[in-house]
Amino acid sequence: MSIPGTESQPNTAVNPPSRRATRVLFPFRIKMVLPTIFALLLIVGYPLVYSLWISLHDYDLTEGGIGDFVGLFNFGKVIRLDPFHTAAKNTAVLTVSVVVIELAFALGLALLLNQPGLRFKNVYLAILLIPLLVSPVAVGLIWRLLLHPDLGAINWALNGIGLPGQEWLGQQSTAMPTVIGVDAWHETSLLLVIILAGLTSLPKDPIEAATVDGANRWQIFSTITLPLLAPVMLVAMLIRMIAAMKTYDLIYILTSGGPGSSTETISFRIWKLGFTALDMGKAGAASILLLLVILAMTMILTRVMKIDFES
Amino acid sequence: MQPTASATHVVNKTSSKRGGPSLGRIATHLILSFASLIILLPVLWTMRTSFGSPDLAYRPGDFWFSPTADNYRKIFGELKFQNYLWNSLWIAVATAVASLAIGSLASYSIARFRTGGTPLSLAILGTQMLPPVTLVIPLYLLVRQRLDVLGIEISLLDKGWTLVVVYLSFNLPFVVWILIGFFQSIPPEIEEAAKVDGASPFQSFWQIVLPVSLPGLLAAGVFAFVLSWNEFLFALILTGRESRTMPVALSSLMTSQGNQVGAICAATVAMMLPIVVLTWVIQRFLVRGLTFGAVK
Amino acid sequence: MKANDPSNGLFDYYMNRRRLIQSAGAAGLALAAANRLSGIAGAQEITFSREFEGTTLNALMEDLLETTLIEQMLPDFEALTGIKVQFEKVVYPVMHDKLVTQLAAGEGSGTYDFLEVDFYWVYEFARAGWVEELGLRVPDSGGAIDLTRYTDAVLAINSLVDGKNFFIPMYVYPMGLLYRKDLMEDQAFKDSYKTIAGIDLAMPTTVEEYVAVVKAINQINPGEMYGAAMQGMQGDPIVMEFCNYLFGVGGSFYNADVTAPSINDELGVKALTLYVDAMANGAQPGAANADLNDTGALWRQGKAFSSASYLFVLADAENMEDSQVKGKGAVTTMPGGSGLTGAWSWGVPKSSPNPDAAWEFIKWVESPDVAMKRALGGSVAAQKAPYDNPEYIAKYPWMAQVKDLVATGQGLPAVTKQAQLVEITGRHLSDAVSGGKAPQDAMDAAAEELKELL
Repeated sequence: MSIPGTESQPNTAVNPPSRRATRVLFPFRIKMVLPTIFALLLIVGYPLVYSLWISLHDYDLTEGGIGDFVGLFNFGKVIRLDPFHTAAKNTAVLTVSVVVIELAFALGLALLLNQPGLRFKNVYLAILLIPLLVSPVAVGLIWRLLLHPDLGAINWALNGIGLPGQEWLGQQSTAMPTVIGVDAWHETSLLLVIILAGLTSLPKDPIEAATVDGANRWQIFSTITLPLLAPVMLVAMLIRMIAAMKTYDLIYILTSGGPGSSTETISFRIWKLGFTALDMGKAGAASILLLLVILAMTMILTRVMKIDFES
Repeated sequence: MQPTASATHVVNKTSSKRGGPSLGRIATHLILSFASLIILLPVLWTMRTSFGSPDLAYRPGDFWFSPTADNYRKIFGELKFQNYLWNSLWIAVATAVASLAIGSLASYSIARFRTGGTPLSLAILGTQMLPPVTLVIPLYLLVRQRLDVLGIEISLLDKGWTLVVVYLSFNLPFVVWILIGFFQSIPPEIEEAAKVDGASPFQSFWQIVLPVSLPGLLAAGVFAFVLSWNEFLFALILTGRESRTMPVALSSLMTSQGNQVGAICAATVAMMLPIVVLTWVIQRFLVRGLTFGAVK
Repeated sequence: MKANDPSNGLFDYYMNRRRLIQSAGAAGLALAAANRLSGIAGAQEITFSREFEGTTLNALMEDLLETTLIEQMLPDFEALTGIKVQFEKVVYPVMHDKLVTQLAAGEGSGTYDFLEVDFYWVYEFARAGWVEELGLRVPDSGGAIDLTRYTDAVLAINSLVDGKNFFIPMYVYPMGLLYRKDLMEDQAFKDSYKTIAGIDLAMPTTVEEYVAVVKAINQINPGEMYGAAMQGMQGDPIVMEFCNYLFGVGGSFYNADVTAPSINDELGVKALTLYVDAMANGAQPGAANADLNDTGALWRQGKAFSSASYLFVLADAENMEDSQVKGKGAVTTMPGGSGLTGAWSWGVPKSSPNPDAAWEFIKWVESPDVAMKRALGGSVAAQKAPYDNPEYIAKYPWMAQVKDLVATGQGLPAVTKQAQLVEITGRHLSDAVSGGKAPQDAMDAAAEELKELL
């Protein structure tokens, strides 16, 4: 499925409205989107514009208010900062890993749970959804304790079965994978909810028809279920990707970006730029850059998905 | 058309009629159990630590400790966490409901009529592409204005409703996008049928499409609720003592005398309680599965 | 005639005199009592104004003992002045963000009437023009605030910026070397030590000696007793701890006139090499990700022989329930003679809604009497007087060391963006201890960035 609004031959949209219907429907569909646009403009529009504005100015908090217009100077400076490169690389690794891993797990678990007549389904579901309500702050704190090399439960358990414990968050080589692992533990549940809902609302007819025609489970899954699930999966992927690129809470608690800079993400760096180095202009510029990257990735992703699932 | 119940039997040969689960079923249970265990163990650790003294967290092998309710007494008696729990709860629910109400309208419009085309959809999602850190100062500037309403000066800071409105704007893009996906997968024949029966566009949306898309609405609602429940940065900056929410309250347990791990665990357990309700809601409406989606 | 013969006019005289003296005495007592009520016993009478009666002051405070002590005394303040004070208590990590958001939003109605300011926000806040210069108000405080009550060291750390007093010191949190004095006297321990190290266990006088000691101790009973509990977590933890090593060898961040970084000179690199060595061979596993929670826990469980840490860690170990080391710890100046001293002070932001009422509060809370009360409650006093009070030392024996610690301690260099300095240094230090870079390279990289702060 594609980005809403880009299809020329939509396969599930309403038949092109007649001209008379268009005149009638025109105010209706506009009216429907207005509340959303209004709310967004009000709360997010202003900060967006503000961020854009300060990114073009020299705005160092310690030097009083917003300074001179400097055009793209901040952008240039930011791109050349070493920490920024490291953060960008880390963010990319984190995002790709998390999206792929969590989506795969969520899809797998959703499919398993969706089987009719599954005993204990309620129990499994209840357990698998618990991480939803655990605050990132708590997740970080608890996992930090569990991963403590000396006094933590994970290493204690490993030692118990004869394996050596690791300095999970203390080594540059294991820090990022560990962060990814913790993130997966926490965020898979959310994707699970979305995909499960998607599976639930799939129309049953095509599946029935295919079964009657003699298709086996795998064929049904790959040619019918998956394509029909695609819009939902795309949305889940996008949402997770965008959120992953803004990861900040978890990093702050688990590692503070360390060791060294091995787990610093862009969002973390932006926070440091703005609140520690007190250079709001550069923080704004970095944010706009992040926004552009996410935007680009979103567009690429939806285009790719459209090509794969054209039916 | 065969009734859906037997369609299921045809589609999923999961148990042989001779009784006893199939291999596939066993594997399913194994995998699900394993996954559940991975989720559950840290949770159990948290619960166990919530009943111990502060340093219990650092003694993983200590099973025979004497449990104490001190941590719970502390957070509910001394620190009044029930207030913050309540704040978190009503704000999350209000946000979810409002997001669904406003967002579903927009999603429907975009899904069915391609309103605004690509630019609008991207723009809506685009508002979420800025990290919260960047939005903090301008949002604070916006919120700290004191409003003059009918001659009474009200401050927007430290008010739960301010947070609801702010969270609404964070949730809307995601809610809209989730629902677009769901609305698109509903066959348009349903609305055609309604139109033939004389329903107005809004009626067909309200009375026909919405009920059918309940799973999607639930998913989006849960999403909005969860996002709001766990949000930290804006709650920190925009709330004070009155409207403080749980994540901020949790962070206040990271004192300079060390993280009050026992209390943190107790508070985390308290925060997990709504999961019981949430799961029930999800079970009931999301996973019932078979009854929805049938057209004729 | 006898003196007390009632018929004697002299008797009258004596009686009168006695009465006079008695009443003078009574009056004197009353006066002294009145003085005590309003602030001091003797010398100058401190009074507080009631002109702000009915105002409510709001402040953002860190949630710990110091704040609690003051909170308990707030009713006194309200009784004296009619001003109500409300503390919004938060934890340290979030304070800075919350404050910066407020202060950067410019003049106008802020939420907080006064602030407590950590020593590395001092230059930031002052030079950004966000706070009043409180030094200007001191002469009119009627004796409530007198800057000579604080040592020069303390004033330098968190009151003076560019020669002007912007803040009034509140309390200090020095760092020093915490060590297990019981182990220093335990014969079995000393023997084990000698077997491994080849020499007797003695209090190290230089940083090199210290590192040698902790490395040896780490081998005595691996897993049960570590030479040092160290906090290598990126950011504040590692920098604060490292400063002790740096100052201990005589190094510094910048040269004397703060025109160029000196952290990558011989001394700086030596300090880092020793630090890396200590962490790798003398500390607990995972020290590179440890913060104060971890080191505090280790200390309290008796698993660390030493820790270059904050005084209050020692104090907490004496008070906390779970602590296995009550009475066993002591603190001394960091080997090499100089450690890090941190401090908090009071400030009044320009966006304060009630600056004058806020000043009344500061006058009260730092008046000698109230300060002494706070000290006796457990506060690590910023003023000199409590340390001369035997009751204070008797109650908290480690306070005896504080004077030395503060006298020899240093704060962070005088650059505006001290928080940024900590961030930069933290990143490179963390790199070095986790094996990413060699000490010289790490320090060079840090110096590169530190240069830009000038």
